[in-house]
Amino acid sequence: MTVTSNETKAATGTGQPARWFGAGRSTDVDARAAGVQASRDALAGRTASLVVVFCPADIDMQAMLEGVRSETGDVPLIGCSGLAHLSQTGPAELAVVVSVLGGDGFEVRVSAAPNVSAGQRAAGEHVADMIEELASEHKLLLLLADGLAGEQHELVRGAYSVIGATVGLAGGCAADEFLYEQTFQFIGDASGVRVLSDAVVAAAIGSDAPIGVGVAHGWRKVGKPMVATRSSEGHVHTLDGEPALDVFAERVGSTRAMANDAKAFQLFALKHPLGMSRRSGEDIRVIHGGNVEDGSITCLADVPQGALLWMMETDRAGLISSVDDAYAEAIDGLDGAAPLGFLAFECGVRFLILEADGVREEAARFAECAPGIPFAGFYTMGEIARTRGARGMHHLTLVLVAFA
Amino acid sequence: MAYHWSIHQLTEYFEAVISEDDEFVAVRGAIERAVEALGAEIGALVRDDELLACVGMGRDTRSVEVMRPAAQGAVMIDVPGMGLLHAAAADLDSGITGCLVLGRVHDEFTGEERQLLQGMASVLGLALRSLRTLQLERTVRAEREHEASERLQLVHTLGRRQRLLESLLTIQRAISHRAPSQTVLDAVTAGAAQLLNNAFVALVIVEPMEGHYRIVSSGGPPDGAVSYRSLVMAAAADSVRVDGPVTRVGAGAAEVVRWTALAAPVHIEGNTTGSLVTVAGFDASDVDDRLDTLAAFAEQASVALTDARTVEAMRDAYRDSLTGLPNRGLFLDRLNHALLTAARIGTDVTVLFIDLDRFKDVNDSLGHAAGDELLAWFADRIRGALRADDTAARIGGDEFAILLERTAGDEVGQHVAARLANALLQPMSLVGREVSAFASIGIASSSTSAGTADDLLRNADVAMYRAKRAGGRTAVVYESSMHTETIDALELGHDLNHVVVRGELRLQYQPVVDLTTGGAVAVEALVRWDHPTRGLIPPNVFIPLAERNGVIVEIGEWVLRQSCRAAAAWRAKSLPNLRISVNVSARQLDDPTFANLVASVLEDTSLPANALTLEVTESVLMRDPHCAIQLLGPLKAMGVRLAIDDFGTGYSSLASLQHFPADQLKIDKAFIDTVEASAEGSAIIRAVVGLARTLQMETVAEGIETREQWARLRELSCDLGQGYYFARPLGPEAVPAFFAKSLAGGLGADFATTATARAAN
Repeated sequence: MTVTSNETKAATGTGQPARWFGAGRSTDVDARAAGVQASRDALAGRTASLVVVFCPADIDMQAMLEGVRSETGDVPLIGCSGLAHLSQTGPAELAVVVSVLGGDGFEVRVSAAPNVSAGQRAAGEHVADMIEELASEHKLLLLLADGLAGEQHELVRGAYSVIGATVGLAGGCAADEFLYEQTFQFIGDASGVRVLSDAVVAAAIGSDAPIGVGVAHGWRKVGKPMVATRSSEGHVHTLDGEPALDVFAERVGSTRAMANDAKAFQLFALKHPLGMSRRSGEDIRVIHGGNVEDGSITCLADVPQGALLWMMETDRAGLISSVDDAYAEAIDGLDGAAPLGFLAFECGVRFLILEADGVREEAARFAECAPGIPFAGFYTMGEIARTRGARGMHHLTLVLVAFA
Repeated sequence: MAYHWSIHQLTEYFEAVISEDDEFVAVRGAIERAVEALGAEIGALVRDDELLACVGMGRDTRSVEVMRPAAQGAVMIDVPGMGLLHAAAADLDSGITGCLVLGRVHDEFTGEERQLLQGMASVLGLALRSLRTLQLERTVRAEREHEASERLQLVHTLGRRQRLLESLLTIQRAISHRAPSQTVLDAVTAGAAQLLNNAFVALVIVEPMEGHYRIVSSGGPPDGAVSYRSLVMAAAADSVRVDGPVTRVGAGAAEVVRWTALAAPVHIEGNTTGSLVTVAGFDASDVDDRLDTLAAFAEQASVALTDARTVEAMRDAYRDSLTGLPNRGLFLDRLNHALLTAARIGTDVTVLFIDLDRFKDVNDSLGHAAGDELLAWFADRIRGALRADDTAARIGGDEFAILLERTAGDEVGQHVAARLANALLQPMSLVGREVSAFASIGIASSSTSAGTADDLLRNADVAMYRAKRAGGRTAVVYESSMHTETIDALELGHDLNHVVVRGELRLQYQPVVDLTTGGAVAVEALVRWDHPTRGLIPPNVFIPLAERNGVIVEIGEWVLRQSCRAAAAWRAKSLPNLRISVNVSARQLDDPTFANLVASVLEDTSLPANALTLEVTESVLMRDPHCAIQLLGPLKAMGVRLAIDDFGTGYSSLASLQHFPADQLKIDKAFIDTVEASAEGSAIIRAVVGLARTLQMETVAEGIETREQWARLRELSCDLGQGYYFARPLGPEAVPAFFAKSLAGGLGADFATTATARAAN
């Protein structure tokens, strides 16, 4: 059990907090009890404007959410399942994490779009529409999408086409325990709570203080570049004219047969992603399958035909250093205001690479950056953050959203 | 090889845009991908007063007003809620009206990014044009859809379209990898041949100058170009004439089998410039199908050719064609950008301005082709002396510049200058001879000379001139006081215009002695400028100025007249054998009336023609040897003696030397300096003296400064000499006394003493 909250007083001098942020976590094996405990800790007796819930994919969602609502009431809620969860007390694989925003300085709308895989772009446009209802000076669209619903770039492009560059954009893609079977998204309003799959849920958050977004990856290019000579969405058939699996195997000192054991290949390939050349650096693609028959590989996101690719590598120090970079960028977006709390969206592959010690070290690094500031997050299957430019979809990154 | 992020963006972009079927989706996707690739926040396609699509502005209805200024050329746009954004715009082409516009919060768009945007706009234009063509085709097809055979056709077409796209990707990749044009063209014909079941395919282009047809690339059976040549050319000509697809039946080379040729026109920037032709024994039912494919491929081949040409044109616009280095425009663009970055991150920018020493001499003596070769070689040396991130450019003529980013003060600049000087130590082979090149380098850093890119480059230029004035082959760091000196030089140039009228020129005379006897035999007239406020100004300061503004002709005439008058006077008084040497500039020599002037001066002053020696530098003679011989002929005929001055510096060929009607060869001081120090120096002098003897010329050693040099030159049988050892340039009043002393053995006794002392040792 942990209680953390942070708040800022209203300029009016009424004594009521104008904005506050709280986070709580519970590892209780009883799903309802975990929901109750985490929410109670996060609220600390206050009434929230928005509740954001992250939990494992294999718990009793309805019971957990009933527990949450028993504490928060029917205020707007969004959430999703994740590989593991983050909060100021450190990471946990089987935890319910609840974060709450409250105070008059925040205004919130929530929305969901089902059947995302049938129309990513339209879904992104749909959930972004509510941003126009906000009157606040500073706005953020928080997206939680199904990580198994295919290409999410189009989802983010759809949302960006509606909100434009003056509104912040962040979020993450829901995950399961690397089973690639089913993920869950939740949305709650006055009419109740729904648990969805193949959906995107979103919160439009307005604030009278800035909201900062930071993103960093900590990977580096290795070896010679390759061109995706034949590819379709995430399916890469050939690299430099040769079967992609053969090229990949050769680069890592193996043969095509390495993909015979699909599970072992998947775990290995997670740590050897591809990077696409971009103006701002590399856009990373996770490989999650190899076809021994036709020699192709499958990535979790699109690899455009013609793209220039590198093998990427990293180590624990590289990944942990990205905390500093993401934190600095998020804080920079606050224009000098002090942070109340953070939401974190971190790629699940980083969780695997860092292992238990590395994950603890990373959490400690964050605590050094923001001592005493509450945060909540989950390990994702894709991260969303638009900082500079228009690109908002990322992989293998750490995204931090800072509220002031 | 360095891979830059931007090059491959175009391949991805092409692939993404060309694969869309719906025009609005294609446009929106094109804007989104341009925005993402260039890290921009907003983007739009603007046509006249209409916004066809916009990304990043949400549903802001003021988008047209915001984006229009960028389409009209504004570099900054004011976006509600975002403030001032950097803007970049590029017109679509391929006959599609519209302008692709981007806005970015951070960093202005670099030249390379604007170029990428232009490439994207071109691709979008092409995509929209082919989309409209496809839509037209679809409409026609829809009308026929009730026919089952047509449906089958559509299935084939779709399959072929996929293969076509794959072939196109190969071509586009070749372009984006900056493959040579031939590789791109070969990818076109190979792709088409493959698509047409390995039929022979030839890309035939009309030569713009001659108007005849030429196969520039072919695919399929390698003997096709020979077997079907006449048929291919005829079909290509038909297709170009009607500017549309044609079918032509003809006989092959064996005149036995009849073949069918299909041809579709190829366009470059909208002009019909050739044809894509295929030949095979098609059966009649297959012809329409193949013609469709060929036409589609020809259209896309035009895309590849136009794109390749655009890339070349863009490269030409920013690159110097001789050296491949960026030109002045691109250099200033990069310098501007570097200054902005430096201001942001708190570092300095350093510029080196480099001028090849005596490049004009090489150009004049060995011709422009050799000069070009030297410049290309020099550019290579510069490249070799740079760090990976530095930029070198050819600013013009023999002037180069280097941009060093992220420096602190001018220290890095000095290191690079030293590295460059070191790289130049290795001589190069030019027109069969070994030539050394040296450079004068000016260094200016933003730490000491703030201002614009132009200011920084100009300051480096000023410092370079200082290096040049110091004799070249050195590097000088810019100081603000140098500006004053530049202004001084301008004022000096102005004053020079009146130098003759105001009587400010003075003559001094350097004695020339017989090296055997030590007796003076002649004087060389040297001009000085007695400036009313600056005092005596040496010729190396004002003669280059005078040559630039043309006053040299007037000064030259004055010097000739005064010298001849003085010589005539000395000869009449006490020195009847005295000869006088006068320098002649290139400008004077170019004047067709120069011989008449000399004749008139000799007549006016009553100086015998053989008492006058006109000295012309080797490099001036070698500019145009034939012309020089024509000009000097009449002077020689008058009896005037001619000398080749500064011999050894002008790279003249021994073959051309024998054709000059010269009487004297004056050996440059640089060779005299080495005569004692090295056996090689002596060997060169010996060779020159031998050469002069063969050509019946006297030799004069310039710049003798020691008794030892005199002794050695005498041993080497050099005839005459001049230099500080004998006398510094004398005022006219001192000349008779010097002659008297030398002829009395004053100098000879000195020499004899030295010679005796050496013998004793």
